[in-house]
Amino acid sequence: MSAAIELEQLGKRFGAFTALSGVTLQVQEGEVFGLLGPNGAGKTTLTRILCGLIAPTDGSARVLGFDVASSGEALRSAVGLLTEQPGLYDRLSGWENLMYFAGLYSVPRAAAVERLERYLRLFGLWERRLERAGTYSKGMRQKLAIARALLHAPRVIFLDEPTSGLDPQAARAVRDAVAELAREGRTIVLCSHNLDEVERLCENVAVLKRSVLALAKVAELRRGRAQVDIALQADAAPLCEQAMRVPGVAKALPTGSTLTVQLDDPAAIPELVAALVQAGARICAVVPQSRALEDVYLELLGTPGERAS
Amino acid sequence: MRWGRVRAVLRKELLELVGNRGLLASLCALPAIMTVVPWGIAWSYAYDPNDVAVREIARYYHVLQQGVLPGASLVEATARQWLGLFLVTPMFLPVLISSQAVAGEKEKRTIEPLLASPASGAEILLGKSLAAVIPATLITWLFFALFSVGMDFIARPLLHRLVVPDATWLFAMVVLAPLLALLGNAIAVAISARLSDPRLTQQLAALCVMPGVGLGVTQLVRFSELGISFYAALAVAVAIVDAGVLALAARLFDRERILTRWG
Repeated sequence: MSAAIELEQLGKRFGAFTALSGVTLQVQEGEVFGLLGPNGAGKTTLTRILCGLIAPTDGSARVLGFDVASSGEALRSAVGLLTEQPGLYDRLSGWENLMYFAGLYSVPRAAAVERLERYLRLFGLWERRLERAGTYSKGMRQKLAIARALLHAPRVIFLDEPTSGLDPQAARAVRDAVAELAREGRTIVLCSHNLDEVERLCENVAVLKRSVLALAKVAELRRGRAQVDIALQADAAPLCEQAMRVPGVAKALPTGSTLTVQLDDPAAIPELVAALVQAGARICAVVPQSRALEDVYLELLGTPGERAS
Repeated sequence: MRWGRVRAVLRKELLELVGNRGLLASLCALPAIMTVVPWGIAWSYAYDPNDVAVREIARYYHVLQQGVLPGASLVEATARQWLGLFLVTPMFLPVLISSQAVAGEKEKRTIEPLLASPASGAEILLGKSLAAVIPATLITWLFFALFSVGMDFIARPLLHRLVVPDATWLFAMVVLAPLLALLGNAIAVAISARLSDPRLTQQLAALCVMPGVGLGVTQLVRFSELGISFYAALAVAVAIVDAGVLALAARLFDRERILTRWG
């Protein structure tokens, strides 16, 4: 599998303001990649750079082999972008909105008509295709915008908050569509604040805050600094000191007969159990606690005050 | 240049224009005024063409013709010299349309998907420009036809011939009107590319018609004779300015600047 997107020390400055700095990452072909980060973290700037809309000031980036700094038209033809705002023409019908973009992307008419019908039916918009987009609900607008991003069959698709404002049923349809696109071998970059969605759809994620704070598989992110609850027959407090001596243990908190241990390295669990047994502990159960991606995300971004800065 | 993309932009802009009745009405307002007002003026001269006041006006403007009633001379002079003022129409109408071109798309948040498409700045600008220039020229021609019919309806009983269109009017409508429409459009698009408020864009671009208004008013008030050679020279000058302003508009159409700078 080759890389669809490669970034090397990518940076973007707007005058004195640094929007992105030293971003290095790779996204493999056919992968659904999550891009996380608070508002103002640079996700939109990064997406715009990768779609050939704005130029980086530092480093380099290639999408499907196209240098983002020099291959504007070819790059824009090869990628699809769902912007944060649907950006539809309210006076045009849903059909006219899509046909307009089919024309801009030079999609042959027959193929355009076939794809329009496919996506409009997939998203349940077929019956209302001839109505003005201005009369559509927020969810319908979002679905039409997604159809627009897919019309020219792009190999790489950037989706900025694709399920924002959708009801659960519509959000499910969008997630299914994303999964289907991934099965077709498309590369998808999903920018989202919906961490549950990212956990469901993405294999790898990058947490961005002007630079990359973390880049890993979702499962690894959740596993890293794992937590185990160890149920004991006796009071857990005397075992804290013993637990803290085990390499890889970050914190040990006793609560009655339960010892909650946070580990930097989940591989340290057997060592921990052995050390406790050696110290005379009678262990009833060892329950690994899987952390939610949200916990990891919030931990990476620091306190709310820091996040806002 | 891919013409399919230009056609796509043109078609979409025209669809939006047709669907916007308010804009269509405002597009017809100015040419309607430019048509009805000279009818009224001409009718006031033709009502009593030998009236003393009418004769004095004709004498003041040096338009008295041998063997022709003073009112008839004034009707003919009005019909001929209204051209300078009428030419404001093709220049002003594209401003109303093109001020929405980029700034309007920014305001409605439709600009980013458009800029994310492979269409080049030149293709987008050309499509949008044609969508402003073509309706502006057609509306100008429509109201010019109405103006001619009305003026001839008033003038023919007095002069026993048609007064408009003459060669100067025809040249101005066929050659100068599209060039002026292109100029009004290019100025509006250039301003639109730098601003995000279509109203401000419209106001600034409307200033571009001021020289045209000045020319028209001067010509009408003084009844100065500006013949076909003047309008031919004007057409050459406007064509040169058109090329310059369009080149400037293309330079100002910078994706990054449009997306990242507001105000």
